[in-house]
Amino acid sequence: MSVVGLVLTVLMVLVAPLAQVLLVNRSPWGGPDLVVLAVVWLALARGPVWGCVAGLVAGLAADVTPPADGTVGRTALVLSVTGLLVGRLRDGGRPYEGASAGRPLLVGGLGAALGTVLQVAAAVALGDEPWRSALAGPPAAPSSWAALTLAWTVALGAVVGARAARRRSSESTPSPVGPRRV
Amino acid sequence: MRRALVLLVLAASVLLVVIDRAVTPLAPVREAGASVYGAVQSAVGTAARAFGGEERLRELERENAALRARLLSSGTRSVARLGVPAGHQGVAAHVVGLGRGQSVTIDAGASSGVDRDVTVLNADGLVGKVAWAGASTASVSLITDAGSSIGARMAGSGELGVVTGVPGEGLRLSLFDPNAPLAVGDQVVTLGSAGGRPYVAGVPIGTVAALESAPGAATRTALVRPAARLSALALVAVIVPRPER
Repeated sequence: MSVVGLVLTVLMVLVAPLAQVLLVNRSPWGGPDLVVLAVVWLALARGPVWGCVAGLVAGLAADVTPPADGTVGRTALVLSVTGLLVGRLRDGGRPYEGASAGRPLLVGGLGAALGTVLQVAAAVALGDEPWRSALAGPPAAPSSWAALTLAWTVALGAVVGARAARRRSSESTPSPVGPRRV
Repeated sequence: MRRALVLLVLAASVLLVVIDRAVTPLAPVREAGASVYGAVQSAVGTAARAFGGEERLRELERENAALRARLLSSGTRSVARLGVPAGHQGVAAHVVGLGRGQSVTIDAGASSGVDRDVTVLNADGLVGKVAWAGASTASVSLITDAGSSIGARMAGSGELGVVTGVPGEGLRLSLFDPNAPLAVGDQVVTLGSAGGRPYVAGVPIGTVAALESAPGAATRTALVRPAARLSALALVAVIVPRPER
């Protein structure tokens, strides 16, 4: 893992919540949850441990980006679990070479859906907001905001999964062989 | 080793939630986030507005906010007498970020005198109240937020009621008198809180859009369309307590 790669990774995780607040939430057609996508991408590209750490960092950043005023650590908890599960799902089957091409798509989409749904569930469960307002979205959003966000995120999550898989199979350095104990 | 790291990460996030909910609110963490991310949001907002005579625009906006506050305090509107408590002033701010719920970020904070629970309005009417003020940015919870409830008065009849936020729909007005006259198109203004916080008196909230009739109900309810266009907010004014000199 190169230094440039590390810097880009950190940058992506820290900039995602900002881009969400500045750009995506202004869209009248809804939009993807960039923070979830960043975590899914890292989990698929680098495995469960990276996914878990990225989920903690990205989620905490999303929790303290104004105007967020929910419980601090709520998104961090949800996304670290999501990153861990996505990474485990990636490693659960055979390696990608020779495996079905649909698997990374599926895992990416599934992880994106999981992250999006769990965030709403956590907001409601912790009593930060009633479920109706958790589903209503930003002021500029249409009334079906939650469904739109889910659709956007799952579609792009599948794309991210395919990209990550292609990247991994083209990496020249073989991944360390051995039982993965996570 | 790796298992330990994963467990550590999960434990850390659970601990954050528990501390913030049960022990003590993690205000320092929030403030750090607000100062870093808020500064970037303000900078991006400023850069986006920096096409054209920004300086002159700033001047006009400041004047605009001051005039609006003075207008509110003079009671020259045709609606009920508008009252800004003595010793309050208007601060101009821009909406620079949108949250995922009914909340927005504005680029004025404690350094301009913005405090929590003060009125935020624009030229059309009431926008919301400041939920949390950082150093240079503040989070505003809009009037359509689920937790919002505003003491209201009908502009014509003077009947009293409460306006609550209904996320995704708008506002719901409940009049205390079940037999009060109410018609579509009636104007609703704020009743005003003690000391003008969170809401000053006489700011337009919205107009009645549809009556809801529930037979035998103890209150008269109606759906209200907000006067301010909450989906396209740009310039707002915050009514803040004047700093003691």
